[in-house]
Parts: sequence; structure tokens; C-alpha cells
Amino acid sequence: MHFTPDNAREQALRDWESQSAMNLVVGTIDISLPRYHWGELFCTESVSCDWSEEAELFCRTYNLTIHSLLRKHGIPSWAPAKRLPDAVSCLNILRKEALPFSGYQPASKLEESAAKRILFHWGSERPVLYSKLASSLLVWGGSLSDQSGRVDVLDLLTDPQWLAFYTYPRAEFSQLPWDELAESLR
Amino acid sequence: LELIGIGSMGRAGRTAAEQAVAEGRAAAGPGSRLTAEQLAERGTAPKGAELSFVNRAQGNTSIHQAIRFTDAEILGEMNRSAIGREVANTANTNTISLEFEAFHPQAGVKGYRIPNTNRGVIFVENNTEFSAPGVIDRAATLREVGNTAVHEGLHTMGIGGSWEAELWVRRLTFEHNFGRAATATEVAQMEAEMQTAGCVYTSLPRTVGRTITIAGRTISF
Repeated sequence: MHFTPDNAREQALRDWESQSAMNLVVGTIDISLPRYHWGELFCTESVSCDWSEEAELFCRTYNLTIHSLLRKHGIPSWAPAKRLPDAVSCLNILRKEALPFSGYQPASKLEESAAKRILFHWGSERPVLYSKLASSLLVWGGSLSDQSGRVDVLDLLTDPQWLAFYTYPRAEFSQLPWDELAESLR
Repeated sequence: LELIGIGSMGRAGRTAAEQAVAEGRAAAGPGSRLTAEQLAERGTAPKGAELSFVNRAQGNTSIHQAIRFTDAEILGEMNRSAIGREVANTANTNTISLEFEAFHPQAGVKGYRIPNTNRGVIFVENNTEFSAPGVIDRAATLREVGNTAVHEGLHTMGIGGSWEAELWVRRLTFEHNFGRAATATEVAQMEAEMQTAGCVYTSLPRTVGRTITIAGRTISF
């Protein structure tokens, strides 16, 4: 990648247009965790693990261009910060409109690979329920081996992205949406 | 010694070089730099060695007390494994410089290497781990700071520039962290994560045809 300010501006405009704007940084970020970081509007992506003035200027120019678009248009409805449901909302989603996870079929190879990558964090357990929302979010939930609940949220709007995961200690959440189905499957 | 750290260094378990640097810093105060010659004159360092110690976060009130680690704590954490020990020793012998800064303004950035130099930078606050919302897990944070130091240290020691290099750094850091080698499934997961991280890794060549020995292991990348 050529780290020039012109390229940064062009990429920012392109990403905004394709609803895939990001928060760009230079340096090592934890790629084993969701791409969305609390407090940001968009997912975070690193352009390089090596710091350089060029890479830093590239990120600043990209992020400033996105900020100028935000000032002009406001926070777009497709921004992860606008669409990501909170922990309790995820439970409500799975209570109202969920299907058994055993019937889940990824819609594309990219979604399949993202799902596989995230399910790695479930160890030998698997979600019990899932729901695909009109807002292009995929939400799934189930119980981990320690019996605490877990929900993952994937963004399918463009390239599938892991937005968030929530955990639900049994001490606070004695009844979770998938408990009944999980029991009947045993 | 090129371990640039935060907090104060305890006396126990110091190497001669660590002791020399600690004394140098104590004489000159936080944030100052003593030359090798000055330290040699004090009889605390070998003549000709390039020694520096800059405590950039000392007195920095923006860093939470719970995650202000002494150099001894960070070194102890790194010394848990042969790999981490080699990275720490490489810093101790001035071959690389590990610099611990309080924080980076962008929360996700844990550290980076500065190319064409021997410097790796670790942002302590950006490695914070929580045991519950708002509750800092000090032990887990120290472990994460150590992991990032090993990760950036391995890059700074020259493992970089290719997909294989990045994967090796992740595998070796995993070994340091868990005390065992990653399984084939875990390595596949690392590659899947690198694949979806964007051009930061996918733009790298598969290999650059280099070989390096770390803790008795020959690494080709």
C-alpha cells in the first residue's frame, strides 16, 4: 500500500460510499477480538504493524476525511455504533425471532469462514439459537461449558465482521432464551 | 540496558546491567539519560556499552495506579519463558530497545515496531484487561503487557516483513503466554485471524527468505 494522503482521502471516500468506513490505526491491535471497539463509530483496522510517519499521516488523513463526512451527513445508519444491539437487546432478539442454530447455513464462503473463526472461541460448545436481522446482523447465543451465556454479533452488511460478544453470568441471568430448547435437545 | 520502562525497579533479582542502569537513573533522576561513559566512570557498566534508561511514564498521572508496573515486574513477566527471556536479554544487551509508554490515544493500539531502528514500543494502558466492567485485572494486564513486549520484541529482533514472520511471532508469543506450542488448529485460527485483519497482513509476501535463531529455535520466514 502506498501511504500517501491522496490515497487516504480516496480510500475514505470509497469506504464511506460502500458503507465500510473504518477507524484506521498504525500498530498492533488484538485481531483475536471483535473488530468493533466500544466508543468508536466504526470497526478498527490497522494499516501496518510498523510505525512510520507516512503510515501515521495516511491514517490521520483517512480518519479526518471520515470525520468531515460525519460533519456533513451525521452518523450514517449503517455505522456499527448505530446498529449494534446491547447485551439485553440481544437476548430480546433471540427470545422473539430465533431459529435453532443446528439449522444455520452461512450465506457465503466469507460468512462461513467468519462464523468458523468466531465459533473457535466456543471450544467444544455451540450456540443453540440464531437470528438474522433485517439490519444485516447475525446474532447467535448459547451456553458455555461453565454454563454462563454467550452471544456473538456479526455484521453481514459488507464483508462479514465480528462486532461484539456478550457474556451472561448465571448469577445475574438465571433464565436465558435458549435454555428451554437446549434442555429439549439433551 | 535498553529496557525503557515505567515505575521503579526493585533491587531483587537484578542483573549487573540492570543494577548499573538503576543506579544511573537514581543518580540522574527520572527521564534523564546517562551515557555509557558516565556509567563506566561510576564503575557500574562496561566501557563502551550503550546504556540508556528513560522512564517516560514516571509521575504520569494519566496512567492508572493499578497498571503502573515496575521494571522488575515486567522483566519477571517476560522471563517466564525461554522466548520471553531471550527478548528481555536482547534488550538487556542493547541489541534492541523496548520502550514502555503510558498509552496511545487510539485505544486499540497495543504496540508497534519502529522500522529501520532497534525500537519496539509497548503502550501499557492499551493492554489493560478487566475482570469485570470497570475492574482492572492487574495480573492479567501485566501478562498482556509482557505478551505485547515479547511480540514487539520479536519483531524488533528482526522477525518481520512476511506472512510467515508475523505467524511465527504469534506462535512464539503464544508459547510464551501458554507455556506450550500452539496446536495445528490454533495455528490455523491465527492464520484465519490474520486473513480477516485486512491488508496489514494480506499485503505481506509469504516469505522473505530469512532465517533467525531464537531461544535455540531456527525460524525461517
